[in-house]
Amino acid sequence: MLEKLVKRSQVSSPWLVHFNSGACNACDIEVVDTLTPRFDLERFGVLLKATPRHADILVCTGPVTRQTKDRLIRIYRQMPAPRFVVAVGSCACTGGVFHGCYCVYGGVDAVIPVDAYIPGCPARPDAIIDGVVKLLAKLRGDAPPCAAKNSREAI
Amino acid sequence: MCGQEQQRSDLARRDILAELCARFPGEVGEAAAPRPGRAWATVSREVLRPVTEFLLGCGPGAYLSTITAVDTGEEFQAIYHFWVAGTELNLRVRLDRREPAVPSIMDLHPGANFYEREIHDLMGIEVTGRGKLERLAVPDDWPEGHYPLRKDWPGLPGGESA
Amino acid sequence: MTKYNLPVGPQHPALKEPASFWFKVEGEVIVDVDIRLGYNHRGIEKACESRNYIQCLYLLERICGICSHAHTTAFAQGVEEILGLEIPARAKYIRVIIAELERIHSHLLWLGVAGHEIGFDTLFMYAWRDRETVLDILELISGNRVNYAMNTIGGVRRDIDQAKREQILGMLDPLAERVKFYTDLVTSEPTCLARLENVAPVPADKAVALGTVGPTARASGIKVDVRRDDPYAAYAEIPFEVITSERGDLLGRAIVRLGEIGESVKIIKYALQNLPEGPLTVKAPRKVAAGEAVSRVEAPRGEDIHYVRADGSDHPERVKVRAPTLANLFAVGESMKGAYVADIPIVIASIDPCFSCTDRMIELVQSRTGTSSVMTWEELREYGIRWYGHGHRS
Repeated sequence: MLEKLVKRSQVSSPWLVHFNSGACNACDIEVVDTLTPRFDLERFGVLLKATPRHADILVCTGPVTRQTKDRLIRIYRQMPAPRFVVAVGSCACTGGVFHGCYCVYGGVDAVIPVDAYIPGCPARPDAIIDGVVKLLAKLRGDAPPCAAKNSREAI
Repeated sequence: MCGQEQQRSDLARRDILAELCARFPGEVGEAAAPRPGRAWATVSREVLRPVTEFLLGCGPGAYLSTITAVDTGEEFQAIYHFWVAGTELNLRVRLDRREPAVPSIMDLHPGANFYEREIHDLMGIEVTGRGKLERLAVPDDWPEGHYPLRKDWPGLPGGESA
Repeated sequence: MTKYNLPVGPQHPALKEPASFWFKVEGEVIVDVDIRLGYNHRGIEKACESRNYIQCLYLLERICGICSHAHTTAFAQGVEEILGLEIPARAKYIRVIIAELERIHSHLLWLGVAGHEIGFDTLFMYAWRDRETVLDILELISGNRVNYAMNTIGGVRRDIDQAKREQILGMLDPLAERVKFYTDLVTSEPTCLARLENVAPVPADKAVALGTVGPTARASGIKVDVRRDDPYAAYAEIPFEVITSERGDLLGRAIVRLGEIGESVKIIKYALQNLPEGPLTVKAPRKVAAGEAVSRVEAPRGEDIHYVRADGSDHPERVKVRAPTLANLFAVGESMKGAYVADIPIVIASIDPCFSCTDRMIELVQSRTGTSSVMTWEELREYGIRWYGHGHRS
């Protein structure tokens, strides 16, 4: 009963928390861009929250640096279950151009489990919205609106 | 375009390199001005502080852009980039690999604070005459004695991270 | 009065240097500040040493997604100087156009963030909506909204043809109108004035001593601008004014940035109308002869300086980058001594380290009892807005 309620509220109004684990800012400004009038992610009920304790979805940008690794894990643990992680941008997906740098661990999935990958350098706002919508479809249990069969299972 | 001419005229570009050589005879080596607005010179670390004081006194708005630490393999170099009277003066200080240290210029130019901490963090150049060099760039759990920008840096112990 | 330690940060996605600030506060007044960087330290300078020059260009573009063009321009100019290459005039003009578009997008982004920090979210939404125009222009030219990849060693990679030129010129005028509106708004709206006027001023002498650059220095009445003082690309041929303000406070920084948007629009128009004909690139060799160069660029936040040292191979021996925020951050720390806790978000935002990230943990430690409470950045922001709302300072 409670689970159903939680699921329903998560699907109809997912709350996000955004964490920059070492990004160059390009993805971050595009994430904020999705919330501003042109793209307006809020029409899907999505709200950007200030604290991980209120959030359902953690939006990560950037490769994970040595200094942010522990903080990323801490923030992930602070989120109430069920929790989801979206990696935005090539760096968050794989480490991107920073792969191999001495202070970089790699993508976000090197540290915490990731539910959705949104590639791009930076990921365009349209792509971010698409990613979030597909994640919501996954939560609802539907098939993704346009199942990408041949690409790496993006969502 | 006339407004622009006026704008430029308040920029008196002085031959700062010649002034420096005249002020510190015998102390300034490898003086070169490859193009207008750029000058290079080498000084010993003993005269770094008086030279800094002289340069910062050369006209309004003189400041230190940054300090670059270079490892050439044989030696370390600390290059102080000053913007003085329309010229980017790059002041090179050559340092022995065995004992890389420069005097702090933070009391002469407070803006040097971060740059001194940075060359210590990344190249292991000691900065004397200021308190403890707090970490600025490298992570909290970074092992002591590891300076990533040195050419002979072996990487982190145990091949940690990437 | 009890002294508190107030850590702000670390998650602070600013250029390549997110920061953690440690404030010592007495009541509402900040008495001391310490700054810790390195959260975004990825090791780019070291990574450049194992990549060739073209790869470096794309890596350096990702130092900062907001002033990416400034970094690639600085690096490309440095390498071109070592090579002794003179890039074609058309390439120089295109570099200027992209640089100024980037400046407008960065300043509008800042305006929105500043609005958000003072609790004026309408301004945030307005400014970011108008910023989309600039991103559209950048996408039209380069194919990407951010990280345009326009520079290459020896020139630029994409042309701006006649049709695009006319389209861009048509998009600039409405933008210039909006900027006039924002200038009036910021200088007359009571919310803006209450939160910006006379807050954390940096007097001119201090601004020089602390090594500030860009709009932060110009807002303290110091007329420094690399575009004018040490012209690169086509800036020597393009007329423009260097906007300064004698105020030194946050309002001064807002006035300077808004003024600069107006100048940038003029520069872009001039450059588009006077775009010289000719090729886009000159051929650059893969290997660069031994040498070194210092290259300076006026990024949206101030002087960006790159040092490049080549050793004759196809990859640089040393690349050193000093982004403008590093120069300004120390000054902003110093300027906060004597300011109020409620002003922390907007003062940090005033040097434009970047947009305010949504989650920065703030820990209040009472030094006498050792108890601590944790606030998020957002809570501190709301605290600041409420504090002013109750008329603590009029």
